[in-house]
Amino acid sequence: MDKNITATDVLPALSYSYELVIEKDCGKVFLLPDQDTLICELTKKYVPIEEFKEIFVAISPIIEKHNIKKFVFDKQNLAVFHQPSMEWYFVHWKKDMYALGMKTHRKILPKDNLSFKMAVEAGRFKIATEFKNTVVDKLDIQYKSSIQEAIAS
Amino acid sequence: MDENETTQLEKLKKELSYLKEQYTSLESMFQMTTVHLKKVQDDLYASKKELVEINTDLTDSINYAKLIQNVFTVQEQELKKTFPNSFIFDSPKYVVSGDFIWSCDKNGKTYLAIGDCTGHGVPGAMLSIFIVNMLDQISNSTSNTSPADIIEKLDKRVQKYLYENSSKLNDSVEIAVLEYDAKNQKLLFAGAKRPLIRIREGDVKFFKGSNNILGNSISKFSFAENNELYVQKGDLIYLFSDGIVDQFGGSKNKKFLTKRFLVLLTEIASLTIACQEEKIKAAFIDWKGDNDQIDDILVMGIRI
Repeated sequence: MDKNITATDVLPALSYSYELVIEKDCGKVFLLPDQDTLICELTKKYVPIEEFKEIFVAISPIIEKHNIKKFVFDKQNLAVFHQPSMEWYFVHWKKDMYALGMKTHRKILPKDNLSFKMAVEAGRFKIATEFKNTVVDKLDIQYKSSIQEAIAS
Repeated sequence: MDENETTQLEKLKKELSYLKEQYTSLESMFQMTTVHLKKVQDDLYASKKELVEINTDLTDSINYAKLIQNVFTVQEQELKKTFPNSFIFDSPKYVVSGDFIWSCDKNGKTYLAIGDCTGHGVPGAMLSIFIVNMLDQISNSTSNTSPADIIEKLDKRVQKYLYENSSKLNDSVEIAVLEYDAKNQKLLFAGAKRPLIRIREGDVKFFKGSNNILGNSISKFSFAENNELYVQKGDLIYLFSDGIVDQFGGSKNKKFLTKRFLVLLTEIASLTIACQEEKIKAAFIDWKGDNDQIDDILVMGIRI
């Protein structure tokens, strides 16, 4: 089985300068100023929507302040996919961030969790079907298998 | 209940609530995924149904096209009217074929050609109808002609209609043409990349024909030559497209090659013409093994 190597695991070993800018019960946010990149790692198997929104709302001013161009969403610790959270994230949060000039999104899914990956696919399809006025088509969204790849791409 | 126990209970309640919510979310996640996968499955079934219908339409269309192609080309029953001891082993790669047999009777002589158009399937078959039509025009427009004349005239028509009219086409035909004069037991043969084999009392003679390609504007020189063969009763004549000799197979997965084909023909020469056809078919199937058939196959054998 492939091991999930999260941002917390790998960042100390990489040559990028970084700073832990948010630490909450459900996740951590790392700023890589030289890369204009922000990494959000959810640290629990399941994140209730209130906590999910709380961390993402806290991220917004950092994106604006540091003129962040790339957002890496490390979902490797998650085991439960919560569609209402993802809908809010896709439809509202991404739109707000797009308005701030952030168009590049990289995502890392849990390894060896097929049901989660299928749920992501199902969720994306549901959003695409039900929400027509999103900015998704204008964004550069790619799924990556590691933090290194996500930063480099 | 003391304060510590109350705190502990509150913590457990919170934990339980979190687990309940997690369980509900997990249930929703599976429900959503199941609905999505059901939709994907339904879409796939619908696509499959559509593909089956398209495939049926195409297959029906190609099968009917084969009937049309057979009207324009010579089939075994027709060949047997002139050569009762003859066979045609016709095995197209895809139903319709780029290989064909053409014949006509003129001035007491029989003209017979075996052609191998480039490609196979529908494009090859369309080209074969064009070539057959050109051969009919050539035979109708000239009172006295020979196999070499037919090939020269066909070359000019291929050049004019296929090469000059379109820069996108690079197709042509390999062809062997013979003229049989039954009364004088004389046979004239000319070929463009297709040979003729004659076996007389175990003695094999291979007439290679020209190496030039019809319609190729580089070959300005006269490239078709008549070979005069006197035939006698019992002589075996074979014309064939390159499909059989180019077929990959055998223990080392190599081409069958003309060399092996000649050995096979020599071995079966004493058999009846019907038996020969069966032996050639069997040898081809045996050689091909599990490999795909790479080209159309057409072999014509005649015992004079």
